Amino acid sequence: MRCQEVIHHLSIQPVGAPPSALLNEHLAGCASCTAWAERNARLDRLWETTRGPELSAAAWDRIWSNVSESLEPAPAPTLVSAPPLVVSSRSWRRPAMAIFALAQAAALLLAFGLAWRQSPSSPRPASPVPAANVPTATVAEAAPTAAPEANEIPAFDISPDQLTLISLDDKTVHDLPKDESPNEVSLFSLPMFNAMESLASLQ
Amino acid sequence: MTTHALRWPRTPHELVVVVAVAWLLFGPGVKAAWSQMGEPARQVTVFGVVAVPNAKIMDPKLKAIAPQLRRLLPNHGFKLLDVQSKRLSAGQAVTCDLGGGAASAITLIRPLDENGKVQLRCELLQDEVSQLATLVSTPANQLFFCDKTRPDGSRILIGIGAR
Repeated sequence: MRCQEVIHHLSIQPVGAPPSALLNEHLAGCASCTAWAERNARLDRLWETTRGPELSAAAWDRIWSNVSESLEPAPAPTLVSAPPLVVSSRSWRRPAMAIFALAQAAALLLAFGLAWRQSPSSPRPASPVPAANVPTATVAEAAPTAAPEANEIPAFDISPDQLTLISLDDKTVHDLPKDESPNEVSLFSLPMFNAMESLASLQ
Repeated sequence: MTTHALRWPRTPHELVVVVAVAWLLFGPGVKAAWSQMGEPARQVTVFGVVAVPNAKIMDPKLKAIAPQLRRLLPNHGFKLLDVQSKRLSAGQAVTCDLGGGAASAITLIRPLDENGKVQLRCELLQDEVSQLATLVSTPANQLFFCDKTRPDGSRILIGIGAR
């Protein structure tokens, strides 16, 4: 079985059901799928212990009838029976509308700005490249550097479906051999990424 | 046709309206939003591992990622040197101590480039002086690795990723 199929089977099997012999055979030899299965089992256990009580059919009926009622159009207001509105000589409608319009304009401006900034096609100037002498503080502001140095730095573009090792000895890229699994990069990289991020948070 | 001249608010109600509008336009929430707009951030993680050839040692802290490390560098033993993970804006760096005055500094150059990747500058420092540097464009949520051979034959393996 391939890793993707194993994960699919593990995802759809009922909570608490023992994995089949075929799955067990794969799990015995695949560390990443075993780790995935353990995480999945932990999540199932957490869900079982924290989920709320099941609603009865009658309760669902009440909920849906309330929803249906709320969706029905409200009756037209009767203008005759309504009490006369007391309108002050200095109406609040205009300033309230002005505030609302300004708030909307500000929100639109922010939304457009964010969309433009986060769009992959929007050209953004490259941030200053740090100087050679970066302080050893854990997070350091990078200082601007001379432009010629940036040209000398080798650049690498990593493919999303490739495990990459850059040799700093000869500045070459080695793509690690892959097996037939389409999710191999994710299965390899994500558990490692998560584990190291957790480890960093503990330090 | 009537024209309305601008005038300073004269009543408390008018003053409240003016203050409310000013708060909406220049308040702390808006300032924070503008600040976020200009500086999108990435969580950048970097870790350094020393890999010793023909050794079976495995640092207990690395147990969870032992299969991946063995696949990266077969027939090596592994010991964790340092791991750091920080939320960075463009231009900021996170530094991982590799021991003996060596360090790896990862600077976030562009949180999102035109190809949808994260641009990082990876630098190897010795006594705070840059020894070599590379620019790497990497997909988010994906680790990549750099390695450097040491004079004693062991290798420094540096894992880097941004999300």
